[in-house]
This record gives sequence, C-alpha cells and structure tokens, in this order.
Amino acid sequence: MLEVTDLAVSYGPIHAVKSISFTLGEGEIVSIIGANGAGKTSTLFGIMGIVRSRGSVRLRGEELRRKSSTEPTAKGMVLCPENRRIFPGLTVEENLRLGTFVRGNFSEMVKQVYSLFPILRERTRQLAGSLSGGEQQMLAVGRALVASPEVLLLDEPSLGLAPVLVDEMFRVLTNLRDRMSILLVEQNATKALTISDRAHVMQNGRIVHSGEAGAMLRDDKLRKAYLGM
Amino acid sequence: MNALLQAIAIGVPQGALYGLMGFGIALIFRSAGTLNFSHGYSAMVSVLITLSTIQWFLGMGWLEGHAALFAAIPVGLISGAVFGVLIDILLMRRVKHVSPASMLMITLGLLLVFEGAANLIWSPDYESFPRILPGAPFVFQGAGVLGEVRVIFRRNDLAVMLIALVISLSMAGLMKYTKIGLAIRARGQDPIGAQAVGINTNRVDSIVWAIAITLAVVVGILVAPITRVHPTMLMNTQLLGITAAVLGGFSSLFGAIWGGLIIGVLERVVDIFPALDGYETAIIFFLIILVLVFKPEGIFAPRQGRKA
Amino acid sequence: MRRTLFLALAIVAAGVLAYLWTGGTYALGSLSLVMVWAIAGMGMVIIIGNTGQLSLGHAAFMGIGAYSTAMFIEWLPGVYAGMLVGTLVGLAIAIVFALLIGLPALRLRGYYLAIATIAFGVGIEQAIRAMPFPNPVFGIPHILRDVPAGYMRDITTFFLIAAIFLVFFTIGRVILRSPFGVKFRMIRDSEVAARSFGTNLTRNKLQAFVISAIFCATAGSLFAVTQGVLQPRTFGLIAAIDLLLIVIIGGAIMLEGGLIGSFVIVGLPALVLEEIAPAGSLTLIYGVLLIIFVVALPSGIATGLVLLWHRKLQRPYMSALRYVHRRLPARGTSVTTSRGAHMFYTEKGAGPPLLYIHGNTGSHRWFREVMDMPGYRTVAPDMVNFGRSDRIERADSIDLYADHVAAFIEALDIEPCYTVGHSLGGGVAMSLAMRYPQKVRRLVLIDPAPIDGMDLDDDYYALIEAIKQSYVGIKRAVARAMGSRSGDRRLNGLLAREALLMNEEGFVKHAEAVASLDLRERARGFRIPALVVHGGMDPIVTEEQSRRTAQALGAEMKVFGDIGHALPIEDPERFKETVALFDGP
Repeated sequence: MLEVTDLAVSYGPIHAVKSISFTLGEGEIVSIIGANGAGKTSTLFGIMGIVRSRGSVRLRGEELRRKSSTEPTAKGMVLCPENRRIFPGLTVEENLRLGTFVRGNFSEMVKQVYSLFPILRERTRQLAGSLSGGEQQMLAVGRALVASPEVLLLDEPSLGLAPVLVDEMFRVLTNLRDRMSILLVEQNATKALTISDRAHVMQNGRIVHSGEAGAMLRDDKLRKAYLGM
Repeated sequence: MNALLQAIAIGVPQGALYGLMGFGIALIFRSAGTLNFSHGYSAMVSVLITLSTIQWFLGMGWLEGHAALFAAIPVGLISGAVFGVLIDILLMRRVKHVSPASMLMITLGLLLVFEGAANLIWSPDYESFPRILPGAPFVFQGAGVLGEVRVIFRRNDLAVMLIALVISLSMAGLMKYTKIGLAIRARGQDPIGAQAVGINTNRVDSIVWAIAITLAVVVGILVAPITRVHPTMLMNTQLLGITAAVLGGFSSLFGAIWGGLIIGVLERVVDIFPALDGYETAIIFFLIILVLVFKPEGIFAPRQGRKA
Repeated sequence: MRRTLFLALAIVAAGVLAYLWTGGTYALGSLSLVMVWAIAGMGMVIIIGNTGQLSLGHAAFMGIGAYSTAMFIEWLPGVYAGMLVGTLVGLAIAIVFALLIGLPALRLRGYYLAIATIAFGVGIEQAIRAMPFPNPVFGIPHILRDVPAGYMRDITTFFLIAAIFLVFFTIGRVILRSPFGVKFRMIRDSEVAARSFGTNLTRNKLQAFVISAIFCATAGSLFAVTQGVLQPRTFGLIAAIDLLLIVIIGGAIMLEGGLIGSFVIVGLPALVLEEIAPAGSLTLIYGVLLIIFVVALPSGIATGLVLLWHRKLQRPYMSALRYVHRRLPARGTSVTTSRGAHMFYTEKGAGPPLLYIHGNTGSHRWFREVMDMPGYRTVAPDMVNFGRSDRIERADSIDLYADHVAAFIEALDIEPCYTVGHSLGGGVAMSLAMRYPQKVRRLVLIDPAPIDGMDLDDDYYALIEAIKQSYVGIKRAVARAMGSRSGDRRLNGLLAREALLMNEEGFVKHAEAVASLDLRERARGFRIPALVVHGGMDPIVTEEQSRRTAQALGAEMKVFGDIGHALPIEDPERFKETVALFDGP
C-alpha cells in the first residue's frame, strides 16, 4: 500500500529524520514506537507533505507529490495528528465537514463515524472546543475517518486519555483494520504492539530496530533497551 | 443633542471604513499570523493606480466622468489582490517559520517600500479623487422631542454605508457557508489540523492576503475623496483600523467592524468638546492601550472558546 | 573602557575626515546628528536586542525630550539654562510616561506589545500636534536663535555630543554587563527560564524600558538643541520605524549597532545620498533594506562583523597557530605501523606495558603527568587523525581508530598491554579489547564514551561546527573537558593548541561517532577485567551512562565525586593509584 524510501526531514541544521525506509501492506497495522523527540511525528509530517522532506513516498505504487498535504490526502492517505488538532471554534459538524475537504462523501461517512462514536452525534452543534478531552480525541479520529482513508496515519491517539478510553480507542482501531491500512505512532509501546502486525523502533531520527510486533513484545532485551519497560 | 446626532451621522460611515480596514487586518492576523502594518499603504498604491487609470481613460477620451471611475475601480481592486498575493508568496512564506517579530518588521519594511514607491512613481502631492455619489449633502432638519435638530449627512456616505454593509454581509456569508471560508477559519484555529484534512495552508494564506488587501483598496477608494490621494492618505485609517481590530479583539472578525463604528463615532463625539479639539486621535490611542491591557480578548468577546 | 576609547578615537577620526573631505563644518553637524540618533539607537539595543521587547513607541520619548527642551529654552532666560532644565524635565516626564505605559504594556507580548507601544507613540505625536506650541504646524522653530551660528558652534556641538554619546555608551555597557543585563537577556531568551531563575519579569522589563526611555529622551533633547527646529511628525510612526531600522541594520545585540545603524540610516542620507537620490527613493531603499536584513541577516551589521571575525579572521590565525605548534619540538618518536600510518608516541619506564589512549581533541599530552608510573612501561600514542600522527581519510569510525591502535601495539610489540582509555579513547579501547582480546590484558576506562552511544542533539553538532571556527571556542571546549583543572590557563592553552592539530573533520565526525556508538552486542561474553572510573562532576558523560557501560562490560565502577571529565589531569596521583591498584598488588 504505502512504501517509504529514504525519507529525511530537516529543520535547518537539525536532522529530525535521517533517511528511513519502511512499508505498510494492505490491511496491515504497523507501528512506529520510540521516545519523545525520536522523529516519529516528523516522519508522519514528511510523508504527508506538511514539512519538506527528501526521499520517496509511494501509495499503491504511485509516487506522491508532497508540496502540500493536499495531494496525499486526496489520494487516500489521511493523517490524524498528535494533540487532536481539532478546530475549537467550529462546531463538531463543521469539524467533520472539513474532514471531507478534499476527499470523501460527507453525508455517507458521517453516519459511520457517528455509529463508531455515538457521543459525537449528541454534540453535533456544539463547539469542538467545549468537548471533553476524550470526545475531542474521538472527533479527531472521526475527522480523519470521514475522508474514508485507504491509509490512516495515527499520531498518538492515546495521548492524554483515561485508561478506559485508551482501551476503547484501541478497540475501535482494531475494528478498522479490514477497511484500511494503519500506520500508528505511539509512545505507549505495549498497547501499540498488541494491535500491530509489525513495528519499527525509532531513535534519534533513525529506525534502530524492526520486527514482528508479537516477537518484539516478547523480546525482553529490546523492551528494556528501547522501550523502557 | 444636535451635536451628538451630527457626530453619529458623520462618525458611523467613517467608522464603517475603519471597521472594514480592521476586518482585513484581523483576517490576516487570525489566519496568516501577522499584524500587517503595510495594510493601508499597499491599498494606497492601488488607489494611485485607480486614479491613474481614471486619468488615462479620460485622457484617451474613451470614457467620461463617472464611467471612468467605475471602469477604473476593478483595476484598483485587482491590483490590491495582486499585491496581497505577492506579499504572501514572495515574503511572508519565507519568514513564516522564523518568528512573529520578523513578519511584523517585514510589514514595516513594506510600509516604507510602498510609501517610497508612491513618492517616486507618482508624487508626494495631494490629488483629488471623485466621489462615488457626488452631489449636495442631505440635510435633515426639524423640531421634534429632542428639540431643534439639523443634521447633515454627506451623500457619498450613503454609498459608503451601503458598500460597507454589502461587504460585511457577503464576508459573513463567505466565512460561514463556503468551503473556502471554512478553510480560512480552520487554518486560523489550527494550522496543523488544517493541513491534516488536506487544506493547502499556503494557498489559504494567499487568498486571505488577497481578500484583505482588496478590502483595504475599497476603503481607500471610499476615503480618497475626503483625504485626497497622497502617499500617507491611509496612515490614520490604517492605525484606526488596527485599533478597531484591537477593540474587536482579533478573535472575532466582525468584532473589528463594530470596533470601527465605535471609534468612528467616538472620534466625532470627542470633537464636540472644544477643550479636546485636536486630541481625538491621541485619546483613542490611549484608550486602546487600556483595552489591550485590561481586555486583550477585545470588548466583544462574549465567552471563552468562541472564535470567528 | 578599551572599547570606549577605541570608539572615541574612531569618532574623532571620522570628524577630522569629514572636515577634510568637505572642507567645512556642515559634515560635523551631520555626524552630530548621527550620534544623537545613535544614543536613541542604543536605547533600542537595550530594550529590543537585549530584553527582547519589541517596542515601537520609543520615538515618542524622543519627542518628549525634544519638546520639553525646546519649551524651556523659550521660557527661561538664557539658552543654556533652558537646555539643562529642559533636558532634565524631559527626562523626568519620559520616566513617568515610561512607568505609566510600561507597567501595563509590558505584561503584553509580541504583537500586543507592538500595538500598545505604537499606539502610545502615535498618541504622543498627536498630542504634541494638538498642544499650543508657538507654531502649531511646524512645532517650534529657531530654538537656538540666541546662539551665534558658525563653525565654532558646529565644532563645539560635535565634541559635546560625542562626549555625551560616549558617556551613554559606557553607561549602556556597564548596564548590559551587570546582573541587570544578564537578567534582560534571560528574559529575551526565555521568559519561562528567567522566571524559574527567580527573575521578577515585570520589574526587570520595566527597568529596561525606563533605561531605554532615558536614552531616547536624552537623544530627543540633543536633537532639539542640534537641529534648532522641531516638527511633531519627526517623532511619529516613521521615526519609530527609523529607530527599528537603526537596530536591525546596525545590529540589536551590541551597543555599537546603534552607532552603525544610525550612520547608515541618518548619516548616509545627510552626508551623501540626499543630493543624488530622488525624493522617495530613500524611503524605498530603507524599506527594501529592512526586509533584506530581516530575511537574510537578522543579526545586523555589528553582530555580523563579530561573526565575520570568527569565521574569516580566526581561521588564518588558527592555521598560523597550528603551523607553528606542529613544528615545535615534542619529546617522542614515530613508528610506522603495518597499516602504513606514522604514529607518534612517547614512553617512559620499564616493566609491563601500560597503554594510554587519549580522548577527542586530545593527544599524548593529556597523559604527560601520569607517564611516570613506577613498575610500568607507559606508552602514550597520538591516535591517527590526532596530534603529530598521520591523518587518515575517515574520521567517523571508532573501530577504525581501534584497528590503528592494534597495529600500533603490534609495531611496538607490547602485546598484551594494560590499556587505559579516556573519553572517546575509552570507546576506542573498548572496541580494541572486544575485537583484539589477545592484545589487552586489563582495561581501565576514564569517563568513557558510553557503550550505547550518547544522545547528542543536532544543536550540539552546530555548536561543534562553531567551536572549530575559533580558537577561543576550542579553548573553552577543552577547558570544559579539563574539569577541576580548567582554571590552569597554561595547560588549557597547550591542550587547545594540541586540539588544533586534530583532523578538522573530527570536530563533527567524532561527535557523531560517539553519538552512534553501540558496542552492547559485542560486549556479550566480554572477559577482560575492566574498571570504569567516573568523575562525579563530569559535564559530558553522565554517571548513569558510565554505569551502563560498566554493567555491559561486567566491569567494576568507581566514582570520584570531586572530579570532572579528566582524572589524569585533575588528580594525577589518584589516577596512578587507581590504575596500579586495579592491576593488583
């Protein structure tokens, strides 16, 4: 589905991502795990064209132009960014409508989102800024889903959520896997590995370890070395 | 009492212009993230272009009288939009990530560039500019419950009021109901979120600059008959436009328009007191400092979280 | 004091040149004006460049000073009494206004502060315009009508203004170097950090605001007495932008920036440009300049010159130093290894061999005080790429350095040897012991490069890039590694010059190599007895990292709380004792 080759992201003299490569297959969930500042978010931004990056990103074998996030999004790769990044001054419905800015059928998809997250249906006319943290996270995921992505890039979907909600969120994500491929970026490595097929560990802008998620979960040394568990 | 009514009659149209100016300034501030100190100056150059076009049409003998004005206005408006897009693409895009202070200083540099260019290409002289609605002012006279009343309303101000109203309503519609309006608001509230849904924020910024400067050109064309055309013709309007945006609190775009109306009237009301004659601008600016300090979210921010 | 004297000489020289060039005193008047604006410019350097508060209202303080001075000259008998009283009253009014405006406005940040100060500036200008001054349109004409014009006046004014300028320059310098200045810059760099250091933000910002207002008001008073004619618009929006231009173009960090900027913005037009440039073109040019400087050279000319000094002038100086230092005689000999490299080394004593491997930017000299080790034959080579040994093509591989050390051991036939590695040399020693176990008998690592690499962020590389550009920077970096011995200036100088001999690529490459070092895989099954010695005050390697290294090697660990990064230099006796003790009685 998604093929990333030699992706590199720099902010001036700072090299946030130093030439990394990985793939994401059809219906697969692949996670990128690693500490804060390892370059995970920059990787997603580079793939989406939100920051300038070198290297190649192919979706279904087709090279993506990454001048802005418009083309990757329109082609079916949708980002659900870290810290929710919803529009606090717009209503829940306006937020979701913006999700279909370049792609997706709003009236059809919004029903699916409401059935995944019923609480959002009750808040349609409410300003997004007035929602609780958990609801905002659901809105952020919902906003990505209305675009009916083929590849969903999820950045820290569990950040700042209560443990119950984290479980709920991961349950929803697992249910999505037959409809889309998911690239999951997480600090909560155990959770991420549990639902992933494969995983990459990032450190200092590089992928320092790759492997099957189950095996990584069992590898004590690895967990100690990279994941601090 | 009569003086107060008269102050309102002159102040409201004037304030509507400050408001439109402030609306554009707030639009750029909210969406593109900079306080544009060259706002009125770029519009001034467009007014000069409009004036030259009028003179050209008249000189070639193609059009006469008012037809030349109306034919030239689109030229001026388009030039404003072009200036806006150029400023964004050539300059702002480069320093967007550096710091807000850099962007602000660049707009100050642009202020000098536009003023210098106007002096150089045209001249520092004052030139007159045709009114949209020429003719004698309306005089409302009569005795009522308030006593003897005699209020003068300039005919051109009717055009000013109508245009300001139409623009405000269409901007409100644009922001609320169109896709691009939604994108502009989204970009202002969360640029990363906007990019996450596929909005090309660079393009939105260019559009915002184009709209805002075009609005400033409209203001310029409307005030030109009063201030006459010269390189600093919009300096005060711009400063008061910024003030209007401050009163509106930047957070709500249409707050700027209300802010403009208040300032326009206040300016005339201060005039009523002979002792304060000449101090009206100074007083307004000191009021603004108070607003900034004690109610930086603007005097129209009704509740937290509510944004444009 | 030296800078003040230098500046005084420069000003006098400029005055003489201007006089000779134009053959009249008109140019002196222009230079006086430059210095007047430079005083205001220095005020802006303090508030904008050093405190980070973007004020656009300081032109108003100039206006207050100017109009106050002019009015008192009108009112009081005797021009000079008027000048003095007017200036002082102007200062007082400016201070009151600075407190009144600054106290609330400085709570604002960024744009809001800019708007508030510009509103203040324009408000004051409008108020001055509305006040009943002698001539409502032009302000105050002919302030100095009682003072005879002529060349004597130009010359006296020039020297008077120069003296006042220098006084303010010195005051500004003292302030910026005092704890006040440190606090100002702390606020500029990070308000959060400043607050956590117990800085009272509002009070310190207000201090900077008032100080800069005093500079500007004085400049305004001097403007009135040198120009003799006042117009309110002189102190309006354009003046605010001019002040900004002065610091942006001159440079906002150093006080000299005020003078340089003022010369460009005020001096050049008055001296040359006004005659040749058509109306409006100056404004246009300055607008373009402001944009160019903000986009391309945000540090301004003064700071730019300092950077230029480091980049362009330090380099030849360093090359010369390197040339001389390399040719100075050094005790020691060279050996050619099987890898074809000439390696320089010194040795002392007889007995079982004890090999010293130095760290980054180092050489054998780092061990000169521990060469005398009874019962051992101490050997201290310069690694390849360091000191007097050969340069090799790559500087990015710890393993490659270890290979060369292995070849060196073979060449001297000192296998197996007791090996001590310091810092980066610790990484080399580890690699050596892991891959050539027969060559190493025992291993002592002094604050070694951590076995699992070091998290250097990329800012750090930029810093290293900068260090290699200046000798002072290298000296400082070496001093940091010298720990409690960093105050020894002679040794610091010597080791810094040794560092100059290093392959220049190493400055960056070595840091990268240490950062990406990972010997944990190889450490599995490591059998050689090892000891990790860690200095508790080490600013480079953390105790946690040393502990991880020791753990991975199955090594003993010793921590000396009072020692920094370099035990062999900081406490040679304790080093020897530790090394000897580890070898067993």
